[in-house]
Amino acid sequence: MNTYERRLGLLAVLVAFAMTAVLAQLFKLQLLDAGEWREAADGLVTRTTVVRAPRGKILDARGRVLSQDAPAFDLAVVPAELPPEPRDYSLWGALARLLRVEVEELLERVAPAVAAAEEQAERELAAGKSRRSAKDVRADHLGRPRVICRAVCYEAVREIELRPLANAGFRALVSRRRGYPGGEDFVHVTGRHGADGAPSSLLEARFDVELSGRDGEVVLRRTPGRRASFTEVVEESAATPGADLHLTIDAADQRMARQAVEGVEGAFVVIDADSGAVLAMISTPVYPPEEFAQVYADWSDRPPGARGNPLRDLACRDFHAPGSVLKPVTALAALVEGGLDPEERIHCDRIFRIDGRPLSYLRCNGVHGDVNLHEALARSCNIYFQTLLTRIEFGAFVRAGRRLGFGQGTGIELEPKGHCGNFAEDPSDREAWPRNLRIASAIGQGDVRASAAQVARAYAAIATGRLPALHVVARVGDRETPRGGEPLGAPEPALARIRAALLAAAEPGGTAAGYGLRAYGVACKTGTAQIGDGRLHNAWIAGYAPPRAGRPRIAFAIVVLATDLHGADECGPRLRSFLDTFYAGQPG
Amino acid sequence: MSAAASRALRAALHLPVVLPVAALLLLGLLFLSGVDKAGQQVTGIAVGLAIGAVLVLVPYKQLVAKAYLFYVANIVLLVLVLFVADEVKGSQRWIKVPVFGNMQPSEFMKLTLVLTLSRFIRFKSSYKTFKGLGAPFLLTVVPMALVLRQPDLGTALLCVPILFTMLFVAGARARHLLVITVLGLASLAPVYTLLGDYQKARIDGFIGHLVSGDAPAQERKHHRQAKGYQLYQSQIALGSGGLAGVGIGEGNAHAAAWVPENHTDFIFSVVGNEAGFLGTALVLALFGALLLAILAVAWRHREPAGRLLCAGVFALFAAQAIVNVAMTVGLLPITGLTLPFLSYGRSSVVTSLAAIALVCNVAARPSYEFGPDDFSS
Repeated sequence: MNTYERRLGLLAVLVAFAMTAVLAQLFKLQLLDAGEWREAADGLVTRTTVVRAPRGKILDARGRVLSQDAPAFDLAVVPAELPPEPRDYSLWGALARLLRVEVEELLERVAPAVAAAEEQAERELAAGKSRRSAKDVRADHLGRPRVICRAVCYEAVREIELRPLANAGFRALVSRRRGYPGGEDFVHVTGRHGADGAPSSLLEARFDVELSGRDGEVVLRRTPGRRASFTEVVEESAATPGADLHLTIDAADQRMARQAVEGVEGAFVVIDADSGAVLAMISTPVYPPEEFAQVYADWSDRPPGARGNPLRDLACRDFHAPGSVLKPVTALAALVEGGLDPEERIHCDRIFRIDGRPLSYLRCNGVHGDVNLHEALARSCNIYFQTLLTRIEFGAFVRAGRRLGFGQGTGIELEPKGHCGNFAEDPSDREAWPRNLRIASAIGQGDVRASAAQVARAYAAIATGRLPALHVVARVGDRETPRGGEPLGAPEPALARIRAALLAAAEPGGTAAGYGLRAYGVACKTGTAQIGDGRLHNAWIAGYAPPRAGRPRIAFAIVVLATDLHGADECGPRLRSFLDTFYAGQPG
Repeated sequence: MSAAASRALRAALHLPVVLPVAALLLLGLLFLSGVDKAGQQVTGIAVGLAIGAVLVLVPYKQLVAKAYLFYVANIVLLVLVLFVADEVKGSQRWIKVPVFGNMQPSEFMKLTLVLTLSRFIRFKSSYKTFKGLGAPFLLTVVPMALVLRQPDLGTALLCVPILFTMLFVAGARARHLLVITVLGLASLAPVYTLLGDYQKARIDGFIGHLVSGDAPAQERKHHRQAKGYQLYQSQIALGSGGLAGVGIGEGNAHAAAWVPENHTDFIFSVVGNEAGFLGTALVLALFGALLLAILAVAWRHREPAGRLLCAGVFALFAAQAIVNVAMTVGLLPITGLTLPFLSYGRSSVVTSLAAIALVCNVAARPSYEFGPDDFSS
């Protein structure tokens, strides 16, 4: 074999070696790893389309819609359809006016959308993955509508449709938006369903899973052929619509409650004293749900407790000094654990003394003379209850408060877990409190804090002898929400003494006399809690009323923050106006 | 066609070479039909067969004698491409020709180079010295540089194995070629910096593919997707074909549809997807048979120019087929080379059939002509 032949032979060997290497790699790819690659191939040849489940509605006690999905229009721009530069931007004036923006602002929204489309086209071309021509890639990206403004008004849509030349490049796209027919009255109850990455809140968040339902799926396989497309349905699962949420609140009652506390910063809670169903629960001020973004922008950088913040829920998520509405707790503690003789009289000369030393900041609001429990509750004598607290163990007071639900969640679905106000829950903290602060707790001052819902629930417990679990949701779809509650565990004679005194508060000589509450059989307690500003108080009224005119036995609490009126004067008329409409026109 | 010409044509059909080519062409049409390109490929085959018939009938020595003319004409075309060709996907490669459609001069350049080097080496002996290698290298570098300007890295790099193989077969000193190879490899790093972004991305993707070989499946997938999209899609198509494939013509409904350039550079992925391992092994076997047949012609032939022609064509097909398949399966970086006879591309198939015609031409001529140097010493 000569050199030439040897060299040809060497070439043959080299080629054989290369072929063998390729064959070995093919063996690995196509036989050994075939499973892994088939899995990857399935991902390429099938496409899954999500079928969105319609979100459930939120309905009031009578089935009126408070929150539901509704069709809406989004404003989109199609970069490829915009007139070439230089454009006559004055043509956009009518559309801009309907969107309540300046033409410049409209342009500021359009420009990024166009830039984004061009950037995506360039990115696809630069990546070199596309099998389409550069012209097709650009036409595709620039021809896609890009939303620049959500939920625009119908007039804006009409403007686009009627003047296509002036508004060339703009399109109205049909979309779905959460609408809130319940309006301002329910803004602190239903909350809002987050969209575009914004969080959901309140009931919309708490029952998001139930409301959302389950999305369906359609799995499509690529069909063979010259113009192959994803049309063959391989698998299909229908969407399960979200469940409707039925509330215990009647929208008409809610409106009455709102009207009762309109114009002040406060809250009004009305509950069914026996079942714990919330009948009305309003916190004022309110705001239109659709304007959440603007309200949030206005208030988000202010302190959480800032006055007049409409984002605050004063009814069940905010806690206030309860003042004298807490006195039944001190009474219950003294009766149950302090061996109090309800007929024993304690002298009130307006001055409270400890070890003979007067404490001016714990003085009474009047000179009541010698008063027993009944008179002290009806006339709201501070000296009587402060004296009781010096006679009993502080723990007995805390236990009585707990028994009536203070420092605990009420059960309302809107309450954040673990946020229950301040009711001396930690014994070590309690012992560390200065004595004067502990004594002030007897009249709802000091560091004690409670929500309007907690106060209403406590009075429901006094009325029924049972501490109900509050709830605003009656049913989720067809499923009844669980009812809760527990016996109060307090002796009935003690409760009877307190009930009689609360009834007397609405009668002549009582703190709530003069507002006609007696006509409705109301038993109540007023409260005026100091809040650090000498002139302003938190004004309260809380109590219960017997069944009447087809209405159940109700318990209620009204609080008005930072008012210069006392509890009775501020809240008495508000309660009366509510009761007048609440019972009016109802079957007897 | 006259009866004499017909007889000459039949005599020139060297079956060991023609049969694998015919099989590859048929397979090519079969797989191209799945991606709707078979009809256009038939035009290229028809033109290729016509040109091949002419090349078979004209004694190859006459063709070799006119090699420099072809060379200059091809250089002119390559220069013309840079000025008149439209840019498609970042390259200027095609000139519009009436009836035929787009013509790719760089494809013809491969065969022109084989003819030119055959002529040059046949009548020189200076290539046996290190200094004497300069002239054949210069002849190769000029068209290479023009092709790189388009840019078409794959076709340009194909010139290297053609040159080396022909010099090696002609008897150039192995150590000289080795030194040049080492120097060439050493210059790869600076050459990398001169490459275009998409070419760098292909090499990066290939390196990423190699280094991710032992990584966990998810990481490997991510790396492959991020760095070597074409390669990843190609491997999905090949791998999911399994032993017998998803069915001939069914690739459009399967992973083959997602392989970019699945009708040209990545036709082998379509073969693997539709016909599985059996199909890819068959294609490799046919290429193996073809290359062996060409080598056999070169082995038997005694005339130096004929030998060189066969060696050049052998190098052309071996390099193109092996590099194309190896890049498709992930053994080499993606370089943008067609698979002879199977890939869609009229210029490519015309060039390939013309090359086969030259081999048949050599095989049909008397093999006992002695020249000044028959490389046997």
